[in-house]
Amino acid sequence: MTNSLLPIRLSGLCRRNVLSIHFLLFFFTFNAFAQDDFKPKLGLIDRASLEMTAYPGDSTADAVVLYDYGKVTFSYDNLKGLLMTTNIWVRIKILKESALDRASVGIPYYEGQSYKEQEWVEDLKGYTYNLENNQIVKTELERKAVRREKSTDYHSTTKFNLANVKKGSVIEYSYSLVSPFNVRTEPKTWTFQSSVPIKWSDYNIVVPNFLDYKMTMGGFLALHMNKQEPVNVSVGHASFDGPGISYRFVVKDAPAFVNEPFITTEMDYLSKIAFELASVNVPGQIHKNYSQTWENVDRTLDEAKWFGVELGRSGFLKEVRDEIAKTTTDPLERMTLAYKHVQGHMKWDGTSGLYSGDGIKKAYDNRKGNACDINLMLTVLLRELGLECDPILLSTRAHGYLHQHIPMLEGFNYVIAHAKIGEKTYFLDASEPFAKPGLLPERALNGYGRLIPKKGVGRFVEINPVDSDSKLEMITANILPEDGVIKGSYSISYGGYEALDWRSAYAAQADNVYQDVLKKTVPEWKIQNLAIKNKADDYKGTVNVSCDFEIEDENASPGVFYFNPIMAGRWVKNPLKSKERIYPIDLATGISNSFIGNFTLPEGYALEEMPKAEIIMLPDKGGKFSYQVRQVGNVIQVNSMVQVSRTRFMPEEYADLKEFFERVVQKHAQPLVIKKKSI
Amino acid sequence: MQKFQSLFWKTIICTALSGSAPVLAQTDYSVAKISPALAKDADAVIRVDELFWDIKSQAEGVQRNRLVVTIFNEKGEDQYGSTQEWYDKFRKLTELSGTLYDANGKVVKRLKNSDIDDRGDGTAGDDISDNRVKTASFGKKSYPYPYTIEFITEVRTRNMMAFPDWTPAPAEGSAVEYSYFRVKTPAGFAFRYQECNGAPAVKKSKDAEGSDIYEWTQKDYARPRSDDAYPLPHYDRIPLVFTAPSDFEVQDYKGNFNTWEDLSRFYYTLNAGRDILPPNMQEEVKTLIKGAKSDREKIDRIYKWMQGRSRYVSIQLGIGGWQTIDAMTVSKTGYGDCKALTNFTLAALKVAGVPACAALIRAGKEAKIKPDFPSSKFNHVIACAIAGKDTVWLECTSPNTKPNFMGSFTGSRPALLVLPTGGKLVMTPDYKAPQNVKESRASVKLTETGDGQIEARSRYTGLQHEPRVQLIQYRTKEEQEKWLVSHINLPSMDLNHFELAEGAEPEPSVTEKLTLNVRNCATKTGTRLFIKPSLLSRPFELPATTDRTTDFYLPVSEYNFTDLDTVSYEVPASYKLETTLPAFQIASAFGSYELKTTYENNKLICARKVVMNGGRYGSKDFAAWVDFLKKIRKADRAQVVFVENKL
Repeated sequence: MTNSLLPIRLSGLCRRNVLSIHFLLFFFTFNAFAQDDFKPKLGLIDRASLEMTAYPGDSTADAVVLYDYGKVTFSYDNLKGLLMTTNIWVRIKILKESALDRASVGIPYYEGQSYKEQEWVEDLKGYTYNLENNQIVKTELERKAVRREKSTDYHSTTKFNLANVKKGSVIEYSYSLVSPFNVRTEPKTWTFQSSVPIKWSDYNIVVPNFLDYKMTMGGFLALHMNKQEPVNVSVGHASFDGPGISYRFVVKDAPAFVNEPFITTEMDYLSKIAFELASVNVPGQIHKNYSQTWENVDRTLDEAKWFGVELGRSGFLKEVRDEIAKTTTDPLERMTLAYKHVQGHMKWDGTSGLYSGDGIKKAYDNRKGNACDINLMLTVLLRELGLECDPILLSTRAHGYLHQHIPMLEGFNYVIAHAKIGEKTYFLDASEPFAKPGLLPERALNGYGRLIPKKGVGRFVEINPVDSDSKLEMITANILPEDGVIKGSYSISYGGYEALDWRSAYAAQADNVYQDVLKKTVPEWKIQNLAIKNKADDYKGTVNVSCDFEIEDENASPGVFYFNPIMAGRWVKNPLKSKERIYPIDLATGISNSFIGNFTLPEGYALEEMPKAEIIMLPDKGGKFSYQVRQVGNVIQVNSMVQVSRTRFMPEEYADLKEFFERVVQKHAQPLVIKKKSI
Repeated sequence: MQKFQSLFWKTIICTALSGSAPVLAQTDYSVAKISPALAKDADAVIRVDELFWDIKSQAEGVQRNRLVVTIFNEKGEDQYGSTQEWYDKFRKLTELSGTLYDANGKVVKRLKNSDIDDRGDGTAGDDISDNRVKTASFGKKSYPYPYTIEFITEVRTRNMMAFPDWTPAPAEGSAVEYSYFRVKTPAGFAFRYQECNGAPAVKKSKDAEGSDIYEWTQKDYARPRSDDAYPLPHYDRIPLVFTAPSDFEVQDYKGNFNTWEDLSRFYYTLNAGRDILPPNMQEEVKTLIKGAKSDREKIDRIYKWMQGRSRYVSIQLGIGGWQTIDAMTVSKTGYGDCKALTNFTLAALKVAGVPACAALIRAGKEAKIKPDFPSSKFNHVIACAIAGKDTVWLECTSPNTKPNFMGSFTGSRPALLVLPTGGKLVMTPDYKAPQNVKESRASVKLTETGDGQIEARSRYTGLQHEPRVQLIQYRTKEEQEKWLVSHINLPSMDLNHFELAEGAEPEPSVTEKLTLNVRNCATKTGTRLFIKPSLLSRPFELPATTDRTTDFYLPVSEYNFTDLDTVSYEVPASYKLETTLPAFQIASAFGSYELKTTYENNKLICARKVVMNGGRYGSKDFAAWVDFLKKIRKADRAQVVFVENKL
């Protein structure tokens, strides 16, 4: 299991200090009685593993990790200070050719300029085992097959290729990565699951009492072993030696992790253990606490150079503030103007971030920054304009679920602004160039955030999108059965997230770019007089597109005319495809799609048959689908509305949601039958 | 003295003819200087793009590039905001500098070391490579548009196997004011060049020192953005000037690339003597082929044996990545790159006494070399073995491909045989419509409400079997199921059961069996049931426009196919046929389409046959192509209508 190295070093946060271990068990259920153990020997293989041709638990898996072992220990070096050693030992059975590349391994590590900031890899050993003429043949990794590559200025990679690897081989390698505390203070997150099955995943850590880590577990698998015992830890320095606790966690027979659509991020669903350093405490030497309570987190933030202190800088915004203050005294207008200014002035660099990189003033001068730069700047400007505005910390969807009951700063990775005008509140993110104030980009929609007020303690606020994926399509047309033609006008309005997506894609483009896209969605239409309104004038309004069209109906035969009245915005496919679902469904935003059609019948024709009306509701007012066709005089009116207001559904609700969409697809496929009246 | 003067004059005249000389190139980079016609709708305008290729000797050259670009928006920035140059021990990066100008042409910033990122080429993966790449950009700050960036790079190379190519064409949506390419060589030095696709013609001259000068200049060239669905391949579309060596040196090797024979001989020399297996392995090979009845059988056995004991690893080290790891080493480690694994296979074939050689090729979907211009544009090596009158091609990096299957990666293109006396270009196996077949049979049992139970069985060959054989070889059951579910052309369904199996015949094939439950397989409205004859068939998209002024290309890797689909519906007895049965027959230069339906004893049988022939077609044929697509789409939308029996 090669994890890529994350060069995250919170520069403003120096970290050394102590206490007890918080241990939080979430989804794990613990199997206390099964205690069969597996302790292989490095360099020694059993025949059964070599004879295996398919993994019993997953017949098509291209490889199975027979053993995935990690052990983290701490030691003290007089020159380099505290060191964390991560010992990795992997044994993999190759079942298919597609897994052969697992024998090419890269171990990335950090290599700073000073010797105190350099990680290194030691004790690298590798073996390949094969059965040849029914004999076990072992090939050892040769030193010359190991290469060290300077990857970037501060990162190197040790690479090696194991020899004689073929289908049926078992490969094994082991190494230690030594990290000075100057580089890394926290063990990497350990995942008990991967893209292939893992037979035995064994994670060990010996934590001396002077280090306090918060450990968080997540996922859907049960622990096979969960042991902890007090031990004496000798780290090699009198003032650090002392009691500690040794932990061991084992997950057995973990199936391959399979990704599903409509999830936040894989890491939210994988079984794993993650760490955050809470404190370091060496009596008489160091004592430092890190965010152990939310109050602590808040205080850390308030005092941090890269956050609280930045919120105090406002000089560079004075000119803009005066300009806006002069223009209006209305708070809502002020908010809109300030938002627009920051949105237009700043270019988002595409990164999230919990702290301002070079400070918000520098970012303002550069006209470029991360989301924290941009939204802290907005917060400052709004405060300067006399508005009640505070930053909200949150975790983006890609960063994963935010655990409210685990106070830790690393849970967050993104900052937005929160403004309150009267009783109304607004979530603001000025990093998104085409978003109206109050519309958060999808990445920021992940349940909750923590609001950090100017004074006092912070609080969690629920972040629900106000807007949805909203589309309204209308058709007014004449049916001309004698010519086999339908002719009329079409319009579509994009609102909410649809408008944001539309503008992000086409606002800066010539009209014909979108016209070509539209043509592709309705290739049989002859389109004329296309007009696009409000491309980017007012983000609060919808984007409105209209055109005239003409379409030949291929199923016209003299006297009878079949046609599907949902001529635009038809749901042709069910977005949920899998039969079952084990993870929750997270749609991020709601859906609101409407279609209204008015079709005028010619003289002498009548509606022979029409689809039945239908109304379907999702439980708990989660959504509604209504469909109706009726005839008023010589006009056929068609109405379809798909609305999903809830964005999160549990696995038990999957079948309902799938059925809901199924009914939409079904109704949207039904044609009308028009017949010539017999005289 | 007299002589010197006339030479001097000649230079001046030439300079004037070829437009502005490098020294005279515009230095005022204010945006106002750009002609409105070029700036209109442009993401970026290249003000100056100069490429100097100074050939010092057969063993050394210096390549210098100066690129000045005015950037108008984010797209232009993505395209031109940074520059990249790779280097290794043969190729030294001697300069990488840059300047940023504001809209008035005033210098705002100069490139600093901290703006340059330096990383190993293999960083992203586990590839082993000694190439490194430097990337320079001003990206730390956002500058108001428009602004202008200048980058200068200079590389000194001692690998003279490959010369630079030049194109004046900017990226789509951008324009160029002035693009210039100059090759400078010692007097009388021979090299080769080729101008393609409307590239400007060369101007030859001599400079004051007597060096030969070759110049190509292009001015005011805009390249509008296009969402052409059928572009010609890059090498047939963009103006290009290729250059290549005649005599050259690299490390201790001398070579010549005047002809394909020369190139073949050079590659042979570079790798000669590396194809010897250790004695024990020679014995293994001899045992392996014992009792083989023909050379073809020997080849098949050796290929399978090699596949079973080797794995592909990307290794780009040493002499331009052209020299192979010897067969002895591969015998021991069991891994290697394409050169090493091909060489190892050839070594084994040699022991078996089967005539075989390596073949250089440009691999990749739709990739090709230019047969009329010998140069080192290859990126892959395969083996070519001879069995009597037949050629058997072997892809040695694949652990499971069948012998002689080249597919979309290396099929239908020229390859250069590597022989001591110099080999020639030969074509690898071609994959046309008759080779790439899907033949499917589906039976559908319909309920009165239109729900369907489908049993389908399809057999795929040639290029059509590729994605599915990869599913079998590289994907788990869950992934296979997901892939199938997303590739089955139905609005919604439950895939109850599926099977994918490789055929046992020498010609590779995959058989796919599906059992599906489809709600609303036929659409019920009131008393009628609408049935689609083209269920489960490949859909066709229409292009956005029907106008065309240039030739168009239907990629042979996608458009050479034959689909034979038969669907047989069992219609509930309570319905009777209301409409006439659809029947279509469409013929065109691009292929043909046929749909037949019959109805008998409550069985509706629909047979659809599509044959397509990819390739290059003239612009005047485009209307016919769109018309063909429209007719097919219309035929595919046809429905058969049934109505309840009123008793």
